[in-house]
Amino acid sequence: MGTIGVLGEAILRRFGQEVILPPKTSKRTLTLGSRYSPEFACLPLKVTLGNLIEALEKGADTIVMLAARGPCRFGYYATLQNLILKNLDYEYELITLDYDMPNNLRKLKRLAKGKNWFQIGEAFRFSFLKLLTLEKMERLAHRIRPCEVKKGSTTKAYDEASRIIRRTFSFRELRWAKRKATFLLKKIPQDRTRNPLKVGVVGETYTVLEPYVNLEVERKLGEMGCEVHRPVWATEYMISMLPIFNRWGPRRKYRKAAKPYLKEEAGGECIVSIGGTILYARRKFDGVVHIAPFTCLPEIVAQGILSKVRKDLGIPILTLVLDEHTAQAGLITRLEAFVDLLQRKQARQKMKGKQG
Amino acid sequence: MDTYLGVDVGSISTNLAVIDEKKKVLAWEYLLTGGRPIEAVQRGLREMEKKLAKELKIKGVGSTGSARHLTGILVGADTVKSEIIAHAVGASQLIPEVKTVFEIGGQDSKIIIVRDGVVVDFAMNTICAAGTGSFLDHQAQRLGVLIEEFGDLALKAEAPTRIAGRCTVFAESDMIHKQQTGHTTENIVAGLCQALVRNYLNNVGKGKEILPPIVFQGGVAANKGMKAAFEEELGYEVIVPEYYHVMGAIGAAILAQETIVQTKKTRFKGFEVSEVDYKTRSFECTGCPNLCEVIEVLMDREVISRWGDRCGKWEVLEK
Repeated sequence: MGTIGVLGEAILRRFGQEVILPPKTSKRTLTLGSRYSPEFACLPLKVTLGNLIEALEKGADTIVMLAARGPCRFGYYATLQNLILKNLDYEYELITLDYDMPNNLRKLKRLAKGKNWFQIGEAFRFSFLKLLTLEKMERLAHRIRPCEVKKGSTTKAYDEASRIIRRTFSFRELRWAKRKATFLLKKIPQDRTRNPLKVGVVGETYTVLEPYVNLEVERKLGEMGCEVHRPVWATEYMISMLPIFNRWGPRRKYRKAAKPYLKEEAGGECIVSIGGTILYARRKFDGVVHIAPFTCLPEIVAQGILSKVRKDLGIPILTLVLDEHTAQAGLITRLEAFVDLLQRKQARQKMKGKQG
Repeated sequence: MDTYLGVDVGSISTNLAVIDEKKKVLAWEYLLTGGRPIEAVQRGLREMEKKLAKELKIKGVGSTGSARHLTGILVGADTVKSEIIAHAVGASQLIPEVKTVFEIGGQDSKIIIVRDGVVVDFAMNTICAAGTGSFLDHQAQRLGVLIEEFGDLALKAEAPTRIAGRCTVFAESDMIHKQQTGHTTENIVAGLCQALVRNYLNNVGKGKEILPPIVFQGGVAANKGMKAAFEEELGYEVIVPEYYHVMGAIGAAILAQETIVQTKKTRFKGFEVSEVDYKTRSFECTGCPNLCEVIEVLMDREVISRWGDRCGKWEVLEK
């Protein structure tokens, strides 16, 4: 799942397990996933099922999956996908990690191949740091992309940077990789005189994090001249999954901001989408792009509330609903029009500022 | 005299418009795309050249519509903008205080919210073609009514029949039942217009602040029954501009004029491009499991542009 897979891979590698990563999500993944999924299931379920099938084809014999208490339908992914895969006669062992902490620890200990608790803790610390480093690079790329002189150079550099970081499996390697990756990104020729638009990207975690699924919305926005910010990050997501941080974790600020509109969590990232948009509006962002997979209930709730937020705070919002389609024309038209809208608004405000 | 050309290539129709320095429309052309955008553009240019006086000079070109990128390369456009902006610009030119633009075309429909001459919000139909011209076209065929007479027929209705408008399939079965129970064609036609308006306002116009003045454009605006149904549903006057079917092209021409103010020099390749041998072809890239469908544009058998790949390895030709 986007960058979260990196976390799992790193932990298990440090445990001394052999890790088989599914190939990068592609058209084949989507085709496989939607062939064996219920038609009305949401897109993330279909894509991750495709990922699992491709991993099993490559010879995986154990699947480790998160099965949360159910922020949304994600809660039953493990059960459902297990059922589908068993029906397809795949042989493997399923280990699910859920809210039953003592049980989780037992499962971990077994996965850790006789490593002691200190080593297990270190494995977690390293993996988290690795993910954090990757995200730092992503943030940097978001900032550089709208100012790049040659279109596409940031994406190229970021891909290289992320490859370097993904290869590391010790603290020392990671430190080196971080320095190298930062250098790679910083040396991209930039035109700092540009005044990029600031756009927030909110929405359901999976579709926001997986570029294949969202048709590289962040890259497209960046290349159209927008500095992309987003409230959804894999690390924050992992933290807020832990029960202790449920109340006080990183989601707290979104919950607080969204309070006038929604008092309770409505599942998924509904509250983050609303709260995030409000916070971006307060920080005088130019616009917000809201991404949701088709039939995603939490985001449908968010969409309804966001139209009120837009009226109250006057921030332009574009909702993109994603499904299995891979044709980009419709999406590009909407994004182009949205960016145009923001640019014209910015130009007009500048003119007003000069007159006044 | 200096003039600007706008080309709007949509899925159903291809429109061209030429405006002068004062944004007055000098000539327009409306033809069917027929699934062959390149030919349509070339045909349109040929017709346009015949209509224009020799002393006119095209100072700038803008392209829009779903084939805007292809068209832009073909004619050498100075600006390539999405149809949403083009339609809004076209409408604001006509009625500067416009607040809402309805645009219903053959395959898509949009609503554009404008405040103080700037687009502040928009929406397009998402999942299906319900709420667009093809819905009416299809039902007119079923009723054996010519689409050109559809609007006048609807206005004759005394008691429009209520027809389910959510989906063409539902509407069709509903309509057949109503026919069988003896409703007149006029009433059914008027009912269809109302169903389409409801569908449009519930899907495309959902959550949007619709305020007058409202401009209604696109091919479906020719249908007087639709205009009447909108006015009845909203309680506001709905304005159908004189050039309702080429508003996108007019908008593109205005955008070209704005661009030329800055760039000074046009990239327009001249009307001669209508004689050049352009071809497109596509192939499947097998470099990775994505199997992207890459499209190539050829001019005199030479590749001048490519797109369609995700990774960018084929996009070498574009600057």
